[in-house]
Amino acid sequence: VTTLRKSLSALMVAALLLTCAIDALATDEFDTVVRLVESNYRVRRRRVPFLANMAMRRAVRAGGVRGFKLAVFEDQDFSERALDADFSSGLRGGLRPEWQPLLRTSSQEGTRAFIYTSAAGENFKLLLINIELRQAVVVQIEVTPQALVNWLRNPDELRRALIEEATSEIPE
Amino acid sequence: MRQIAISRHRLPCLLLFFALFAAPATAQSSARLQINSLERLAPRAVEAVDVNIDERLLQLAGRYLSSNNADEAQVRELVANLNGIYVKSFTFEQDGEYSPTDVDAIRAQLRAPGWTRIIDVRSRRENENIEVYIMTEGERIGGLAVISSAPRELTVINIVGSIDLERLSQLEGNFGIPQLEMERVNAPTRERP
Repeated sequence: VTTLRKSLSALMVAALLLTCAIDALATDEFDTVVRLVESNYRVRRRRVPFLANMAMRRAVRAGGVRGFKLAVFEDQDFSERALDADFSSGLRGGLRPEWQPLLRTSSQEGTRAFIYTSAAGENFKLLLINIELRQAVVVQIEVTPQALVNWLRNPDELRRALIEEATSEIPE
Repeated sequence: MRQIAISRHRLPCLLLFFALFAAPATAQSSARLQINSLERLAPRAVEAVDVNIDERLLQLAGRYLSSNNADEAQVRELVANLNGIYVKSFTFEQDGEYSPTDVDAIRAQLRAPGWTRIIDVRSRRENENIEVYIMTEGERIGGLAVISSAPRELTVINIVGSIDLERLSQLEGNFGIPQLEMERVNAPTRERP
């Protein structure tokens, strides 16, 4: 009986470690992109306070969005457009093949946006990178297929909604 | 050596498999244009938009758009036969920021067998030229391409799958496809590009 208990405990620990490892793998994309922004534009992300982060998570969940991750780069220099090409190719190379590009926009005012999608079981993950001259935001969310389809009909509206959702509750 | 012998044994089966299954895939993908060469225009543009909606997302749209809402039902029916929507659109601050040669690589693909230009389509907008091409595979339409060019705007749309020109207008304003304001000037006429 003792041996069985030990085996079960070992099995549970292994399962827990495996779950953590899978979870870590699943978070790789977001972290990879955040690191890519940091290294490519030589900037540092701003730590969003825990309570503010929780408030944002509650807000986006109320809108039918799950699995929210956010990185904010505020009051930093993203004006060097010559770095964009490296960022773009780094993004393509850094994301796993299941992440497909959905939308890419750029404007002369300095806004550059990328949206990638990936299946996540019955839902979908969306990864948005929105870079402006003095700030950038990286958002990863999980959405229901219905929410994604509504946004697909107007992908640029999706970008605006995500940015608004992600940044509206960040305290000064 | 044994492994090589097994591989040789399986080779005819593999060839047969590819002959049966790869051919339809090739026909389908032949309507997909390579439009990435246009990306070099983005730094010169005031605004650049690049939309990629693949078959997986279109199938999802087909499943989740409501059949009770008339507008959604129409779009749902349309996307059921589509395999991809790809749009690249550029707006420039002044004339001459792009040249016709920038679009040559795309026009060259549209000279391939299967593609036909529909010549009786024009834009209702002044100074805007619209070229519409369809890819036919037998009796079936396998894809559609639109090149819309104005002195300060360039849009290339590539729709892979079965869609005819009459129904394209139903997709305008959806899935990143801009309002094209096309009209037909005569009875349907086609020419080889």
